[in-house]
Amino acid sequence: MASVQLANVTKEYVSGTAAVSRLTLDVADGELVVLVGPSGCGKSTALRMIAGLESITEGDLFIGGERMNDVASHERDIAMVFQSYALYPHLTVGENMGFSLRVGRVPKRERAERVRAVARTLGLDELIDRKPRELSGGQRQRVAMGRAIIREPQVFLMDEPLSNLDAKLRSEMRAEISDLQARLGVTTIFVTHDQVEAMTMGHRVAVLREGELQQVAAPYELYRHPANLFVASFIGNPSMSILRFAVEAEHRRLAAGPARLDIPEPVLARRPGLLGTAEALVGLRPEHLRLAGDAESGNALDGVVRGVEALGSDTFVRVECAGSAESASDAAAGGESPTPGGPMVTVRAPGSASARPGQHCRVAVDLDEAHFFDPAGDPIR
Amino acid sequence: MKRQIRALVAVVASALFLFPLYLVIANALKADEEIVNQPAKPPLPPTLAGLSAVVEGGEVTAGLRNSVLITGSTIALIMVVASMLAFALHVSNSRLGNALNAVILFGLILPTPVILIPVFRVLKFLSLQNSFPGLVLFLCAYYAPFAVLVYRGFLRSVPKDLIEAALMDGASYRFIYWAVVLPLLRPATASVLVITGVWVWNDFLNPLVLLGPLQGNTVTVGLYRSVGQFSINFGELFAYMLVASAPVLGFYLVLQRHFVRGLIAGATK
Repeated sequence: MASVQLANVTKEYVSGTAAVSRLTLDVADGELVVLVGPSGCGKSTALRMIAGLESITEGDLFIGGERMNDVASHERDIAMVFQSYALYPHLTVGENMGFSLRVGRVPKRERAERVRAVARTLGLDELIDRKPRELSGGQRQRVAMGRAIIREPQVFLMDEPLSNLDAKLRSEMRAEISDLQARLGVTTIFVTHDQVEAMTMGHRVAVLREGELQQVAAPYELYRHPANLFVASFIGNPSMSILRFAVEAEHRRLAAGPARLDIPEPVLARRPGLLGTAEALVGLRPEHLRLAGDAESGNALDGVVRGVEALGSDTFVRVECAGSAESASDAAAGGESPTPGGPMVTVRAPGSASARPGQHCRVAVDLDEAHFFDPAGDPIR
Repeated sequence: MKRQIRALVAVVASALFLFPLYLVIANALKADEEIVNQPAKPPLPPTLAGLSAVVEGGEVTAGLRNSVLITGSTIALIMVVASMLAFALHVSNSRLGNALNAVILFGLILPTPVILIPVFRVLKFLSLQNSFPGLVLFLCAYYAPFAVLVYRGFLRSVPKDLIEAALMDGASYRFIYWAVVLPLLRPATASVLVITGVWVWNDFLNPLVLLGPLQGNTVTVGLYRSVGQFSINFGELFAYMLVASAPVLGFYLVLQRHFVRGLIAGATK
């Protein structure tokens, strides 16, 4: 297997649009790295540059320590699973999987044996003579995997391979791909816009936005310590609620409209810069907010329940907070207009919670776990 | 009500198209004087006199042989050349490719009579005048732009991923053309074969001028030459028409299913 290094890799089109800007990323031998980001962030372009399907405008690409910028894609010893699976509709499952071996003039007998072996591994041995149109989505996905595996490449590239599957199958295939990758130990770069896929599959996750790498870290690290406001709001489902507060340094508290939140000492000790700023964007994960009783003291926001999503194990309650504090979530996610009405927060409550839309409530805030960003979106330290 | 009107329109339109065919079939099975007096009357009782005279005369058989040879060679050549060219233009995506595409499409708007004399001169220069290869090469060049247009339209519906996946597997463009693209182009090929096949089969002017009388007639030229200066045997004329159009009708019916698919492909994603 091989490592993959991207050093200041840039893709700029003739029109001057930069799809990827100075991307630097090291993928270790045998590692599974997920490139994640919203549509148009350049993740697929980055993958296609590694595959050799797009030229690199600037920077260097190394696979197994060798510079690959000008090497033809089939000489890079990589295999790619496409979002559409790219199965040849006129060929059978076996012929699809053995296509690269046919191109490589591998003797027919050896080809058949290798196809059978890979089909067995993927549970496709019964389907080997079927055409792609006779397969389910999951089976097609497996054939696409088989076609990549049979080449025994140094690197797997996967471009949103699960996006055409339904939710249940997607979850099954996530586990299957992770398991297969672990068994084969092949260096894998996986592209997705689904952050659940990114968090559950990646050894490390690289977050991209508008062609620029925002952060690369292990999933939990990314969740706990986002490098900036974009990563904070992109990672996590439901996403982090972000509220804009004025910092009242003399009172050591945050203020927005009638809401006042005292900043705990440990938070100030960890982020001394907080008192030096006039305004802060406070990121609150649903699990760090709680529906509180009216009589309860401590940091809390008053609000009105606007939506309830009961998932069985948990209930997510959307609360519109009272006061003039502005929600910054939309700006953080790259949206153009803020949410109408007051700032919204999402609270994770127990599955048995009985909140109803329109009901007044108090939301207890655990500022110890909150994330603080300056108005530019950089973390306050 | 709307459905009934639609059905009525369909019946009228079908009748308009089928009536000439009925006239040919009915009159091919009637005697000469009956055709002149009552051309639309059904052939009751039918007679095979006209058909036997035409077949026994040998003219139509020779014409059929020539037409099959010219049409078969032309459409086979068009299929290979146009599909390869369309694939090359599809993957090249360069300025030169786009310019070439525009030049090829320009060929669609040129009427044959305008270029017939220069073409004759070119063929004469190549010593291909009054020969089957000369006529086939010209017809191929003349109808290929249309075929390229059909193939390019269809290629737009072939996912780019298929070609890229094959490239990553180490396949050359030639291998991709034969092993991946050409099998997928089957519906477009059926359309090209049917449409250009009918055009070439029905072509009258080009064989008349470029082939000349010495090489024998195609069915269309033979039909024209079977009309006498002072008298016309309508029974034999209609029989000739029937024999001349039967192969095209059969060809169309065999490829009909693919033909329709080829025409609508590319219309949706």
